[in-house]
Amino acid sequence: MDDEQPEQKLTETQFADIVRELSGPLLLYARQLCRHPEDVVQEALLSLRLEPIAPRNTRTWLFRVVRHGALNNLRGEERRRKHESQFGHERPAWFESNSSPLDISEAVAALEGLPDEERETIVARLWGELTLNEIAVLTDTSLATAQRRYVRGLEKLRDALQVEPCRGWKPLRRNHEQ
Amino acid sequence: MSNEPSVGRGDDELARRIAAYESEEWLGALKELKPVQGVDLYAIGFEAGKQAALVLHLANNAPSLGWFHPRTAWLSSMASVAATVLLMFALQDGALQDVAIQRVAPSGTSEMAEQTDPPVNDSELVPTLSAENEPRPNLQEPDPAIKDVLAELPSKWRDRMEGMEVQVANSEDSNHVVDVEPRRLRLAFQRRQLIENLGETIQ
Repeated sequence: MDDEQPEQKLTETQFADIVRELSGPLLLYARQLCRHPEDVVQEALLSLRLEPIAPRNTRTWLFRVVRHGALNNLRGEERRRKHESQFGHERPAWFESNSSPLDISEAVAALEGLPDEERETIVARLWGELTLNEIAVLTDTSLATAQRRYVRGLEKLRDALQVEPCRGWKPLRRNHEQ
Repeated sequence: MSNEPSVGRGDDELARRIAAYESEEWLGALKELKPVQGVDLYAIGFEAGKQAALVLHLANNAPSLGWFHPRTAWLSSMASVAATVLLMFALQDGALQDVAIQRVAPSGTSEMAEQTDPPVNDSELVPTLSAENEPRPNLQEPDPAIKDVLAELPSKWRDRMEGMEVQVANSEDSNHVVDVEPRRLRLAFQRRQLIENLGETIQ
């Protein structure tokens, strides 16, 4: 997808391509910020569809709308948390099974172990494919802070996934003896 | 992006470490994990909306396409039913979430729940649909145009139109629905607008 869109309404094909390409990363990103990410992403995509003129950078526009929506959604959730007995007990899947040598549940556990700001930065960078400059704007912080969060998060992830930095990496099994 | 706030200067040392990290194999493997496409409902709604708009277009223009002869009236009714079913799936997580498609008979007649909005100007179809003495059309030989349209539908929707009972489950707990419903209603309304726009585009 070309991030720099012309200043006109998105065609159906362009919109469908965006949904296919970005709905997963946006959902994963929203999942870091609120408990009902599907609603947030859906609203963001609908907002995009209803925009009379496509944003110049659709990717960053969508991430920004999702972030605002997720934070609003989170505030609403806090208000009704006491009414929902099952709140927080469900754990929907973050990733689909695929060809990655990583174990999904271990990867998710490692990500979940990160502080919110580091996890948000990593998700936006790895799966949202935003630049650290864009992430800095998105999260209203400086580039250096975004860089620090990213590096700290990566270091923690590497520890959690038992990666040995100086050797050729192989995914380690849970009972692997070194 | 001249109108975006400045993010200041980055740290060169950090930038080097980031470049080194991003060349590591484990990070590539992590990035390979594919996020769940959890907005299927939206995608389905969008695709279903397009399909519904196409079917509606065919149904609305049946007379001009020569499909309105009594002998082929069932084709129009099938198109109407197909469009209704598609619209319901397009809107299923909105206001119509708890509406059951009680039965869609293979003959093309349907027993829809009352809450379902009619998708087209069905009044044009009614006289033909109510004709009592017309021979039953041969279901094995549908009009190729309609056949093509139906063939493009996802198989699960086709299956559901073949006389199966379908219940669109409402999975929300009662407390949750109270808070969520206005937003879902709004989304359903927006989605209906989207579908209407798509219909205009196709026509």
